[in-house]
Amino acid sequence: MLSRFRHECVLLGRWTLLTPILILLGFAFIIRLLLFIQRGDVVRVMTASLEMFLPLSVGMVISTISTQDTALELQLTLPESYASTVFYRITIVILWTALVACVSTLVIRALHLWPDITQLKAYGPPISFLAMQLVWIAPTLWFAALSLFLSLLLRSSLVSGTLVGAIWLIEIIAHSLFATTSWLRPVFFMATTYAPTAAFWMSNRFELITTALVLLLLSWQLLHQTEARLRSAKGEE
Amino acid sequence: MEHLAVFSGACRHEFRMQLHRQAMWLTFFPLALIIAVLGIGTPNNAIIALLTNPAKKSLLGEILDWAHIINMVFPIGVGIVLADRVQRDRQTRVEELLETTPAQVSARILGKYLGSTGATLIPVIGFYLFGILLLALQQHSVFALLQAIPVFLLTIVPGMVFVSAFSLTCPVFMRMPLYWFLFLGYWFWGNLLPPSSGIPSLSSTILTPLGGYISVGFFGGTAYPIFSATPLQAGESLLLLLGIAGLVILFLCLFLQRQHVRK
Repeated sequence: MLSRFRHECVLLGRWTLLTPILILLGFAFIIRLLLFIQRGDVVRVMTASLEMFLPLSVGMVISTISTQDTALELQLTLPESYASTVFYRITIVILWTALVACVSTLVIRALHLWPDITQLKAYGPPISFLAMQLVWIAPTLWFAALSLFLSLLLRSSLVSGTLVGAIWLIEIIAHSLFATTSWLRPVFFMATTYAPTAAFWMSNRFELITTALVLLLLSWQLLHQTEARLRSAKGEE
Repeated sequence: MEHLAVFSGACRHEFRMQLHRQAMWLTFFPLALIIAVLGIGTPNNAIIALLTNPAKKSLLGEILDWAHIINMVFPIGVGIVLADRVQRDRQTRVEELLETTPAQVSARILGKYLGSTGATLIPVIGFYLFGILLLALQQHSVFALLQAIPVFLLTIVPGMVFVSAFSLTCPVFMRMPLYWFLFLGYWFWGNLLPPSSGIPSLSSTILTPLGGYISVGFFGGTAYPIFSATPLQAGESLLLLLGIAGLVILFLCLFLQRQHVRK
């Protein structure tokens, strides 16, 4: 099991594993700069790193690894299903990002840069710490599931990457629209950055996670469509 | 003359290849659909305001607003769709084949750049004209198209040309997911970050492919986050975007030529 895990980590590459660390280190540098020049909302920038940029990076990575496997034909002949192999890989990516994000949360809390989320004030320390992780868990799972689903449905990592990026950007441009329109709130992944005091924050997090689980279930079904997987060959997008 | 023949051949081929590329249409169609759904399903937003014109803006003002909406989102599609064009030649071993021909690298790359960018702008033009048609019907004016052409050429094309130059060049030096992430991060930081955020940014400078200075300076509109600009600043912005795009493509040509010589 350990050798399988090591092999999959080698396949993912060191840059995939370094990405969440580099993103958060980059934002730590930006925060240091903002504190030095005494400008900008430091808490919002730190929240954005966990809620906006980390999930985007996970989405970009997963849209690439889910459709590009040079040994696909070989994988399809193995007793273990290709679906479980893909899910194993994305689980590594998500769990690694989760570990980095958890450590970052502890550091951000220690530096008193954590956003003031109104709905979390009702909970005591152990539960509020767990609930705090919803800031990054919900959007990360949502972007991972959306990227995987779109990559498999459209059989193209490029189209999936573009659509995920466009959705990310459109929500930033129209964040007030997403926050004030009821049917858009379930897909509003930046509630902590732009609306931490909103009454819908907790329900928004669970709606994102529920949507992610539904998309993952649909992706599982798509991964069993062998012919479709073989048709999404690299370089023919 | 030979270089011109290579350039025009490459340009035509890349244009046709990109036009027939399923991934490009699969990218832009859902993008247009998302914008349309947000425009129809949410009251009082920019697209509804554009189509109903409650503020009674002029036709040119509405065309500029429509161009600004397109400029905010569609460059993402253009940038990512073009990102694999040079890398794809390497992956499919076509580059090795092309290097055995006497065709100069710079002529091929320039043809690839202009041809693939031109083809990628076709769906953007389609969506832009769709909006112009609606505006023409709303304002009962046949002059919408006449006004739409210079707005497109001056506010949308320079930004797209700028973005596509970097999209062809940067992935030669980095992996695709990393480029996508950096490009999206740049687009937010360098074009859409509000000046009020306090974070140093390029978003209110003349170096924004969003075309704010060009739109305001040449046509007198408003393009957030730019609210005032002179025609001189607009001209500077236009020349800067095109100039940097040219330099980036020149760098790519020189780099690939050097790689070819070393082999």
